[in-house]
Amino acid sequence: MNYIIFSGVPWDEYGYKRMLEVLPEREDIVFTGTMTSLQQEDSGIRALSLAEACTLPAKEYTALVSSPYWLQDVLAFGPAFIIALLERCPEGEDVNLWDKYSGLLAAKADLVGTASERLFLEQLLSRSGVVYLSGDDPLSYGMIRRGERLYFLADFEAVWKKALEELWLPPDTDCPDEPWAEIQLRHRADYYLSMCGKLPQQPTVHYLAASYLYLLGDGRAAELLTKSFELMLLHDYTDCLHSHYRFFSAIGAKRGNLELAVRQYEITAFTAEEKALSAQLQRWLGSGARELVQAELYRVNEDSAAAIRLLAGMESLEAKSLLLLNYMDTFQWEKALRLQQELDSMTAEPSSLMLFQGSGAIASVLLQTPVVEGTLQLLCGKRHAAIRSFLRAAGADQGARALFAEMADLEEAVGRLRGRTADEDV
Amino acid sequence: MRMSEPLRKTSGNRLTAMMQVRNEAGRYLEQVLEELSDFVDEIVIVDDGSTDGTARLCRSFAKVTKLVTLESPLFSREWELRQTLWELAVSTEPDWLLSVDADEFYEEAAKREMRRLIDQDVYDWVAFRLYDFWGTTTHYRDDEHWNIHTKHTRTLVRYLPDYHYFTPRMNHHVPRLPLSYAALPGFLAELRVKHFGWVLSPEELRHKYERYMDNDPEGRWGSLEQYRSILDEHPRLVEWQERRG
Amino acid sequence: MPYDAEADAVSPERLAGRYSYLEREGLLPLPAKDGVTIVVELTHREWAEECLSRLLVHSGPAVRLIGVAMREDFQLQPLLERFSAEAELSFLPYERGNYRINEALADARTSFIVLLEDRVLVTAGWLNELLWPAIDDPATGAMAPRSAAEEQEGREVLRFGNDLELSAYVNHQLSRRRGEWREAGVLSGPCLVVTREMLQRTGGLDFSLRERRFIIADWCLRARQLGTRLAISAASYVHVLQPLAARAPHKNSEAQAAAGLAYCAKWRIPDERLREHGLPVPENLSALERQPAIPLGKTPAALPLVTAVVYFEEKWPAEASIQRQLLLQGQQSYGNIRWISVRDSWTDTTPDFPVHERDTVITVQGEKPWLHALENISGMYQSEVTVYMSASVSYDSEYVARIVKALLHSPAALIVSAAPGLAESELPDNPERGTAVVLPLERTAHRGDILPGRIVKRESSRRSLLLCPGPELAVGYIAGGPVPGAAVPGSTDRPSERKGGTQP
Repeated sequence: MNYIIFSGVPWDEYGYKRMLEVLPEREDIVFTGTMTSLQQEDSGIRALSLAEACTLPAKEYTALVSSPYWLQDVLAFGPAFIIALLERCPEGEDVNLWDKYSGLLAAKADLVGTASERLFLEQLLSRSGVVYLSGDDPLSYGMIRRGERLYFLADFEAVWKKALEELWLPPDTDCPDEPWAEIQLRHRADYYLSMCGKLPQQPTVHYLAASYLYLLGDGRAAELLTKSFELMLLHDYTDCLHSHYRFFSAIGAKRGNLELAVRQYEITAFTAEEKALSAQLQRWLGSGARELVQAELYRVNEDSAAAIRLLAGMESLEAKSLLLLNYMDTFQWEKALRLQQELDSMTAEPSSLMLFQGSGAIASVLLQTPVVEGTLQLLCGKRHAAIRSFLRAAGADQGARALFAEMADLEEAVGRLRGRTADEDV
Repeated sequence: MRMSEPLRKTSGNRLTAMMQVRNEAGRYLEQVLEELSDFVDEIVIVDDGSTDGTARLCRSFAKVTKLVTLESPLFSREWELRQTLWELAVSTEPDWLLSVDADEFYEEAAKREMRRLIDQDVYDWVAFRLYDFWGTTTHYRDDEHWNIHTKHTRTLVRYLPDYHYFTPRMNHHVPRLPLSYAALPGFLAELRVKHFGWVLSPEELRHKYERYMDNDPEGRWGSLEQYRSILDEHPRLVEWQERRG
Repeated sequence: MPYDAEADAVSPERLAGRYSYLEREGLLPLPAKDGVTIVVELTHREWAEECLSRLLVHSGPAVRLIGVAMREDFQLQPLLERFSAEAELSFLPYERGNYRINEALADARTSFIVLLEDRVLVTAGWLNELLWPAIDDPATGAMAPRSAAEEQEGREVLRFGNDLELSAYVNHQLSRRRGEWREAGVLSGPCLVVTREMLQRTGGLDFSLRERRFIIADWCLRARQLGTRLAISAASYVHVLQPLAARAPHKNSEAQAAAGLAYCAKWRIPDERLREHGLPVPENLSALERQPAIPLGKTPAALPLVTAVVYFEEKWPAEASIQRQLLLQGQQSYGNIRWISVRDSWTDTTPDFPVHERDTVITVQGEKPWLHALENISGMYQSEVTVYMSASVSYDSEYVARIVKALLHSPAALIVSAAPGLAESELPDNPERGTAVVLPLERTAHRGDILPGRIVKRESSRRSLLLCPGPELAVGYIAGGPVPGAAVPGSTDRPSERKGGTQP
């Protein structure tokens, strides 16, 4: 496989050099930007300008993208696979813009990797196909030979290799090994469970253990969360009703104990919107719409990934509307738009969508439609269409100036990025 | 049942007072129960092995619906005692619980406001200002070691059946209500509670001091300095002012 | 400056430097006249080739390698092709139920033998250092390098990014700690060197312990009971790869628990010590009864363990039932049988009678529990094969041996022996797989890793039993044994290729 690197920083500072060493089936590797000839020789990687890179046969390349501001160029290039390498917002960048385009990049990617455990957990709750690119386990979990050199793989590197290989060679369904995503969750869970033994008074390690066990569907999650909640209280960190206690409702939902989960959610519901949702959950429970209850409990616990898995196969108007919310929350905007069109054709008036929901969530989604359309058009290089969409959105809430400002900020950020990687003065 | 009504009700809340007692005859218990009977719906009591007429006195009040007398006192295992009282209290299916000591009196304004405090859906607990009366029922103590009234004490809580209630398993100085309430929203009321536990003669104070020192000679559960201040000959006392209607 | 020959002549540092040079350059012979046999356990398809290549490159010319396939799904073919030119490397293919490591060990004629997993990666000079403890101290009979997979003194967890870093570390250790070794209480890791003498006295590995770490530890403990000392070489280190995925984790953990319990029982270690970190070892080895040696090679111990389930359908007088059971046990020629009798106390008045340690008598009350117990035997007692035998039926002495051999050579999950005297040509027709069939329990055997299905009474007054196998299970047939008193020429022990069973 050939790889093309779209980096947020010059080659010198590129943080994934080791991950490049252990790429499976590594053939041609291109760095978009400048490298000295010595650097190219040492690394076995050639540097091309963006314009030169664009002449490559894109479908033979997998793109490794570590800045969200490359997204327009990457989409224009059209590689075989996109791998998003997500990072926390660097100093000097606008955090809202960075996070939004990181979300859009992740949604577009075939595989997401990150060395930040916080981003890893956030992404796990948004989608499948997420690899954690860091770890504490010193053992070797495999190897990869490149010429004379034999590289030993840390657990996350072995997972990374397996995840990449499965992009072009899906796993054998006849004799399934444990899926790589599960392996990594299990390794993280084991790590934090061992940490709980070493730091029995530390609420965060118990919370992280509970989180990984929850993602694995392991019944011990509730036990660990209870311990974490109690430790928070003992340490007088009392602001933990939403962060900790509400999580019980997601765990309950996953275990199918919906009655209790709904009551647990209700304990944490104070705003008008939360109370309305709580009442809605009770009604759904009463009418037997258990999947909707489960999906919404996942969503309010920010586990859109689980909600989407559940809702994607459902046909009812309500299920599709909830799916729409989850697509919006996780930047899967193209799917959201398609679904919205489908919903429009199912209902005579958009307002009927809002009737059952009883909250503003769907209404605000409908208002955002032109913004979503505009952003996607912008990403596809359709600048004028984007401007028209933004103007349409502005008609609804007078926000045109903010949208155009964001557009200008993005263009500026992209300009800075190209300058940096091409090693030019900016 | 609960499917149709919300978890937090704005009217019709039932209030249960909960209390642990031990050899209270001849002190304030009768007066406390009389006053509580005016503003709570039910009273539950755990008698921690009294050897006087405490249990009989409790039973004489109609609103005392549950009374458990422990054969052997749990005084030295406070967590278990608190847990026994908590389980007894929640067995009355209350909407709200008021944790009262056998020598605590809510001021008139607090009693008047009690229903308004619980018939709402915004917060789940209420804290009051507790005043330690010293030697007399007309003055409270106010100095470096005796100033609990400068902070709020949580005594009134909404009972949420499925919440996780956690009380640290300690033998002494266990909070009177589960710690878990700290995570829920609460209301700090500028209403006062009179605590007569220190309305004692100098001999009784010395006796109480000695008991504290026997139980906790190294000051593991409280401060030795505060224990010693029980014997202060000239504590700073402030006269209690009743509020006008 | 004049050359000070005398000072240099006594410089051990210089000698050590020269020794290191010779070793690095591969110019040093091994301290073993007849060479070394390396037995490699082949489990990891993706690592075996690298492991073998490194062994060939880094072990010197005087070694002979035997690769033993440890799993049924291990593909030997690619290795055979890759290493076809290597005369000193041979392979033993997998044989179900036969622990071929003991066979490979028995074949070793050299004075040192290495047992090594294919997840071990060796570096230059790895072997020489491991042989010396046995020469330094002839009482030492088993040596191991440090690695991440040793559990006691030899555990060394290190992170290496690539083979350069690994070699640098190994060379540094060799130059710093050459010749250093210390005695160990137990070894359980993936690389073990033993002397031929130790092997001959201790015998082979006890594969009934199932999990490798327990098997190796048991071997070492048995050796220690015979006065052999164990050593950890401080100077040598091998790098060990860990499998990333746990295959069928739940099944694994149950099997692991069973292996641990068996090990603890054998060495009289309290079970709760399994929860401790690391491998538990007996507190006072010398106080324990000496464990017998396990014969090497293809010996009865290498025969697959068979569970024979004997059931009494009718009420037998006490004395007669004991006689019957003993007769059945005594008759069978097969050498590795665990006997389980399942009795319904309503029909069976037999008092307890003596049994071998590994044999069991299960007594239940009532027909339903009796049938239930029969159905669940294979789940309770792990073995390669479960054979059902009725106390009311006569079996020839080769019955168990024949049906086991047939099952082990057949893809079928169940084998039915036709009635005595029935030739192959007379075997029942083969219905489609998935069609409901019932099999005569008293002539049925199945693989140990399956649950055979429901057991029901035959529609008759006798308590004769039928097995209704799950529809996914393939059934094979073999011809019956000789009719008692008559020789049947040409009876075969190969199963017929047919699948399915008799229609009810």
